[in-house]
Amino acid sequence: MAVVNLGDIDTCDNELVAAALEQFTPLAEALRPGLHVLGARGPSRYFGGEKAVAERVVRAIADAVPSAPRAGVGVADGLFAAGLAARVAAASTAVVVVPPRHSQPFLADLPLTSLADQISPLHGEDGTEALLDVLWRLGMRTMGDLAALNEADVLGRFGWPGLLAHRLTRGLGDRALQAEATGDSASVEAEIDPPADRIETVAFTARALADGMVARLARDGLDCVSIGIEAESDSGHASRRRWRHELRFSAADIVDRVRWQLEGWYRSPERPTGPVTLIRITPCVTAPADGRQLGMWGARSEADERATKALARVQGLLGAEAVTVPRLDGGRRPADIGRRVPLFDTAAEAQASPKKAKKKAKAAEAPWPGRLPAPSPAVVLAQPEPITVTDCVGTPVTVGGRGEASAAPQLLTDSAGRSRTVTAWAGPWPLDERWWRPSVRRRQARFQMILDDGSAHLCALEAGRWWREATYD
Amino acid sequence: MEETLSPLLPEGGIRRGTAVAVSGHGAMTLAIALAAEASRRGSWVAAVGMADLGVSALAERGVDLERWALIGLPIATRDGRLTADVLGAVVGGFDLVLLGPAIRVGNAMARRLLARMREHGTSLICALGNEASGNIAASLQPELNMMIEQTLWTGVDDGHGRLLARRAGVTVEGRGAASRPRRVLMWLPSTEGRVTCVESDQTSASAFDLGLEDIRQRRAG
Repeated sequence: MAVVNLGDIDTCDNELVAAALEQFTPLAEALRPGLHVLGARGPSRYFGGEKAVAERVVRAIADAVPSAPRAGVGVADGLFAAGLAARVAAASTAVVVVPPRHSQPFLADLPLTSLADQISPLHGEDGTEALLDVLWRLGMRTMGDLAALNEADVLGRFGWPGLLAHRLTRGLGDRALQAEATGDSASVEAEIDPPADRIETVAFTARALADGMVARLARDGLDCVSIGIEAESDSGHASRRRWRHELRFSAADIVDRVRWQLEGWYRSPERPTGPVTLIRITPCVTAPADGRQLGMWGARSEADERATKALARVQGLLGAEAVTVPRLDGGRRPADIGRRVPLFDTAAEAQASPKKAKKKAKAAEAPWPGRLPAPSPAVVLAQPEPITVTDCVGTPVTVGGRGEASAAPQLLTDSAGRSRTVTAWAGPWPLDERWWRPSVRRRQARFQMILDDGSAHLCALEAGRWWREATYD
Repeated sequence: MEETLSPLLPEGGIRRGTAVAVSGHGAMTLAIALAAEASRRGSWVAAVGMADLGVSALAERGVDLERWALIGLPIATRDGRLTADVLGAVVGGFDLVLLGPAIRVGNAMARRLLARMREHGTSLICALGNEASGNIAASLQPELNMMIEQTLWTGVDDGHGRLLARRAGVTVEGRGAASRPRRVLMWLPSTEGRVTCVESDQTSASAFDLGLEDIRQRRAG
């Protein structure tokens, strides 16, 4: 992986640099203006070695943007090492190539504060400063000092940021290694009508797109590492660029990229002559989210991790909705009391509104007059089964206005037409829910019935029809 | 395993990497009770293909809902490989897996599943429901086969009372230490809401049986 470092350049020059880099590989990506990434393997085969590519890149940039500061190109296995190599290169020889699998020795002599460098996934993360502060006070000055520690000890003491820092110092932790390219199907786009001639207007539209995309990916347990941004103008011009993030794109990060790209585009020689009509964002490379932001069921142990992984795999096979978690809620009918919440909702629920979750928990504990006491049925039908209940002469059993059964239930016939004798029964217990709102009002008379095979059921009579709602299996 | 259920389990618990089959009326309650203890100890439990599992019943058995996942298998899944893939993933990630009655697994697949269970130390409880077709149970060679043969609910009469407790006679067959079929009497659940085995000493056991007979005769008469 090769990183090109130009320091601070303006978005207009950056557009020219991006165009120049695309001659080397179509997969040139920008991290931010002045910082670009190339997959080095393909071009180096073509141009005869990584050093040769890097030197050509330096020349190409100097030709394209004579005013730009001298470029530094760093080549290494991972993004972090390549980025730091590029920084070293910009200050010295223009090209620094770290041989394969030599990232760790290269990084070992660099100062520990490089972990907070712009190119680092830890840059701008919560807790990075505190982590570096503690490591500094523990006497660590270089990344080699940290790399020398035992990984498990670092994880135990510093948690996730510590683990990531430790992996970075060993030349690991580059997320692209386990990343997956996504198809175009995941892209989101919006037409801008009326066409926007101000970047802020486009950015506003992009914000909504980015919010939706990031939320959808998060729901599938994915982080977006690389995106493609396309913009079209009503003059028929189009701008396509790929952007990479060291860790994962947030919606705000994506909007920044849209701004940078449009600024550069409108000031480049190939600038569009009309306003922007369409914006499209494609997640190009996604990586499994490491779950930090999910924080699914509280504390994370090894068993939690294992189960979470297994569930993610099952969601991949069956769809995200297939995995649910049981939750107790307020209500009177068994199907209301015990709900099944889709897994990704629970994460969102807990994160978005702890207040609401607390309210729900309270509702579950509150008294609900009319709720049947324990034991609760072990089988609650997702779809109540239509049945018929008749008395000893074959007349359907009804419940009168005074809440009394018209006759003793004698025979229960299920939806398949099989009949069984009712050996014992209790009820009816009336249920009148939400009587104050006719549209959602529910009136039921509930019975417990034991059949001659020993099974016990919760049946309900609602609007003249009988249903089997649950079984005391 | 909970002491009150130990008469069911000759080794004091479900051995890791093995399967237990539960069948008959009340199979779901017994299966949940067996899983609840593991759940309370902090194990993760997955219930696969149990679309109708009652959540309040889970809570009443003392299950830790935070470590319980429900996995719905599409009912019309004729794709045995999909089922196998799902079960394979679940067995790799959970300490205890409950299987619903609708799950069908072929012999070859069951052998692979068993190997995976042994590898990860995962136990399986198959709730076979009332039609003890035993399809999956037979191919998984369960260590223990619990058949609930007689059940009797108390508390309900003709139009009076409510369901309070259930007595059940369970026959436990197994391999190895439990090769001789044994009969265990249980509350499923008791009036206090607990799933427990009735004292296994002879007198109370027969009293329990007599009680069953007594009530049956009264009802017949």
